[in-house]
Amino acid sequence: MTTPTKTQRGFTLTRTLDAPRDLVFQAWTDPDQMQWFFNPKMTPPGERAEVDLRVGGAWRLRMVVSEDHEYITGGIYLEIVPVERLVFEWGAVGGWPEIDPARAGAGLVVTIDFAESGEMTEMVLRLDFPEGASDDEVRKLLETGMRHGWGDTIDRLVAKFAG
Amino acid sequence: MELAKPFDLSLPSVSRHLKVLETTGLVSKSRSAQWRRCRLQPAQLRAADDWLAPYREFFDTRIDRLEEHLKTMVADRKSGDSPKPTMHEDTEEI
Repeated sequence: MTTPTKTQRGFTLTRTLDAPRDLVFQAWTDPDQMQWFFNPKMTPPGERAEVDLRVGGAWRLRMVVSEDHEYITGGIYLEIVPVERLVFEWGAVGGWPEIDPARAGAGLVVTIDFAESGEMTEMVLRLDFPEGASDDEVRKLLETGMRHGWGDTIDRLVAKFAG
Repeated sequence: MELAKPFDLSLPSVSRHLKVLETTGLVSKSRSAQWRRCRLQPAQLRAADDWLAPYREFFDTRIDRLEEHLKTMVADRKSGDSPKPTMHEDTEEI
């Protein structure tokens, strides 16, 4: 049974960036300009994102969190409007968030809109759960988030406080 | 301030991340004299209503670094160079 839920299903982050929007778009889509996405302390020099910039294509990169923890993240492009808009299902098969290849479009969707604002760019990033996802599916995705993302942050915070 | 020291993050970035943690009830703040103390509330972890926090935090941190990286891209364009890959060391992983 899938019952649509009214619980909070996404968030929006808005940021005004001091750069023309073609550069902002390039920073999201050109593998030579995506180093900002990595963890700078742990990522080996020369590590690069893979980008197949077409609808249905994927971008992916390796996130190294610590010596014994790393994961793959990225996305599968759903919509590409050069310099204006980028939509992808966020994650990777076997990565975080997990994309189930048997159920395309069932995962978390990230939509990024780039709007010109004088010399600057207003970037709006929205994360959504798919419309038809049930409470159970939403919970399952969120629990995966707890395990992979949040757990490490908390561990590190606890270590800092304890030390 | 002290909390910010171990991280290679700007003070406003640390404040922003702390605010997210505060919103979720994972961190509580108290004041004594000129000190503002942040306390970790691990009990809230299981009860946290805002399950979206890790995802928000993930992108918020990334965008902080995007902002830094764009400075390099803009500078490269102004100086007429083709943009070069750069590494920034100003963030903490989630």
